[in-house]
Amino acid sequence: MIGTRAGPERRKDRLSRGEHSAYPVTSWSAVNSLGDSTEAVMRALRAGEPSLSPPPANTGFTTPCGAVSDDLPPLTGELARLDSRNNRFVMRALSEMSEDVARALDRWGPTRVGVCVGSSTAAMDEIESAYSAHVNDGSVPAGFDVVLQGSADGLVRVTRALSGAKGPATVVANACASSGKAFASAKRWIDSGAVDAVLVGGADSLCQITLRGFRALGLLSEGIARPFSSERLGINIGEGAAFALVEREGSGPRLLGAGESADAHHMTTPDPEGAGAAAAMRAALDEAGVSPGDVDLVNAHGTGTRFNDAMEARAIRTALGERSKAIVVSTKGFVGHTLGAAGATEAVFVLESLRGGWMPPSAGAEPVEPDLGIEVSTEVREGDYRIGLSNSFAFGGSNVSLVFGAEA
Amino acid sequence: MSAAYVTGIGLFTPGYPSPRSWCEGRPDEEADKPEAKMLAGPLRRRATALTRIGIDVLEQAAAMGGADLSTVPSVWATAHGEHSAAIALLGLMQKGEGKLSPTKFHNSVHNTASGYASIASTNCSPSTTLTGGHELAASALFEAMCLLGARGGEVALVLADEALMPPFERKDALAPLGLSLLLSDRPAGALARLHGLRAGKLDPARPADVFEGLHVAAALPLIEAIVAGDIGTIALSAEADEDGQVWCVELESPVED
Repeated sequence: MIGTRAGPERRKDRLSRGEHSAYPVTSWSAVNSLGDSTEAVMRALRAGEPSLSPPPANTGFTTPCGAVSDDLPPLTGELARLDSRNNRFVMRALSEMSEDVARALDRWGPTRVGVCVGSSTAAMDEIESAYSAHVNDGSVPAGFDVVLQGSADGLVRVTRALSGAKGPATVVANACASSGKAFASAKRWIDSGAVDAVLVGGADSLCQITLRGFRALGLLSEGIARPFSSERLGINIGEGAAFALVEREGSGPRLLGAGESADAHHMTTPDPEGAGAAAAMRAALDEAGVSPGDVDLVNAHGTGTRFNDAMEARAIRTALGERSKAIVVSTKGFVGHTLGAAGATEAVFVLESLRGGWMPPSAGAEPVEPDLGIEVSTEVREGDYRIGLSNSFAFGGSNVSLVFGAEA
Repeated sequence: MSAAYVTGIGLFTPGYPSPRSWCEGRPDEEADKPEAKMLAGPLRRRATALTRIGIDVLEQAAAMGGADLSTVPSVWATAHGEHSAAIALLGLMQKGEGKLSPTKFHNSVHNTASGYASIASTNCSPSTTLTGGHELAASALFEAMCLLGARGGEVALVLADEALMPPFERKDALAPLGLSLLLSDRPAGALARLHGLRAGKLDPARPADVFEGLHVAAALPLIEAIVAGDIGTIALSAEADEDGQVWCVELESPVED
């Protein structure tokens, strides 16, 4: 039965006594346009190597994309029916963590390890191909299963099968905030006493609906995305997968807090005042028991659109204070906006900064827009970073902010 | 994990605009569209059919339990998401230059309904949309109970899906379905108490044939049991896992606490 190991005490009761839960992130991985292993991704990020490339051949307009290598192997055997480009990212990313996940399963028991993955479109690219085949040939390809191969159902099944986790498993689908919110859910799950570890992640693959949809909204850049630059013109779309193993006990940087909010303003345009974003950051800091002045770095949502970056800078100033020491970075100039995978991908970048003592630049940020009023990272920096914050915002006005702390 | 009290429920499928109309088998042929009263002006014109269903059942549960729609946090679950909007986009991509409608694009994300509800009711509280899997009804209840345990007060759970459309339609599900539960950490006015969510050996949930294949329909027997005043172990998955287990929850009278 779920939920008997720890007391069912409400978070607000614990926080009122100054007690804050903190869970170590004991293992993580990322696959994206920078590389098909975490080591390759981080090496390229530190070297500032560009990884954006022309869009898929059937796009018909110019916009750089963050595409993962086509060389990843397919799913085979019993998982062959779940094969998709998206699930290949998942298999590649999880393969790096297999020893750590096996250790967690052994320690906690498979039913005490949950799975919480974020995704926006999952394997929509497979659905697009099947739909085109229907238009051109009169039927979808034989054997194509829209649920298993195209939807998040396949994502859950693959993540469970490859990891061996048998606890609660689900996919968070709050568009571009999906995998950031997966961390918030994971923390709640462990707080509840129902599980002792959660395999948190995000995965999304390039598809025409998102490329054409963001273009229809006038948000897609024809050039390289340049978050926080006075010359920014919009976003680039990317793809990838990232995972993190959050455990009740263990060693590693810690997930200290998560804050969620809604703008209640507009489906696609953020509240220009940034009230919802600031509320998410403040809630995350409150849950973490961290003073705003102690935040060392912020991995911003930083899409590179005029609206988002101006709103987010204002929200950061509101939440952290006008004299905050925090250095702000957007990594979307390197890998594009990986949508449902962005929160987990950027959480991995923060975890690497806390463990390794360095943070990447915001590619293309110079000249930084002076009116933003935040300190934007424009080169690789080194330092003893103790507290890192990661933001993700989404359609529907959905906001999430995560607070991570260096290993105690 | 804390127990949860059910203080409100909701249901919509064409012809059945409430849990009671469904459970009593009294169809209302005029109730072919959900009310979704909070949607007005441009939001009402732009809202998809699935979004209207989700918002309608949210309003039903909130009205029954007396929840404030401008503050209640929510969990939403949909296996197929805004499938009609996605199919419309796929069709548009095949025409001319393949330009998409911005409204149809933002209406295609899984959290469309929760976004519209948040805007229409100026609700800035957290809202999470879940998808994926034959265990969706159980994992959504799990998430909602964890959120309730963390925050206290009330949490609204909305489950809604529509049947798959051509060329991806299946022969099973025939009708859209929306279900809702208003969960509270207090027993006052409760219809039932839920606890003990777990995987166990039990026959899978068997919702009505008209909803077969619709993952969220696995929560329909729970709604039916609450209306009937039944107690006992209720299955929440329509399919057993590889170990032969299904997710289930204990449904009790609210006065047993």
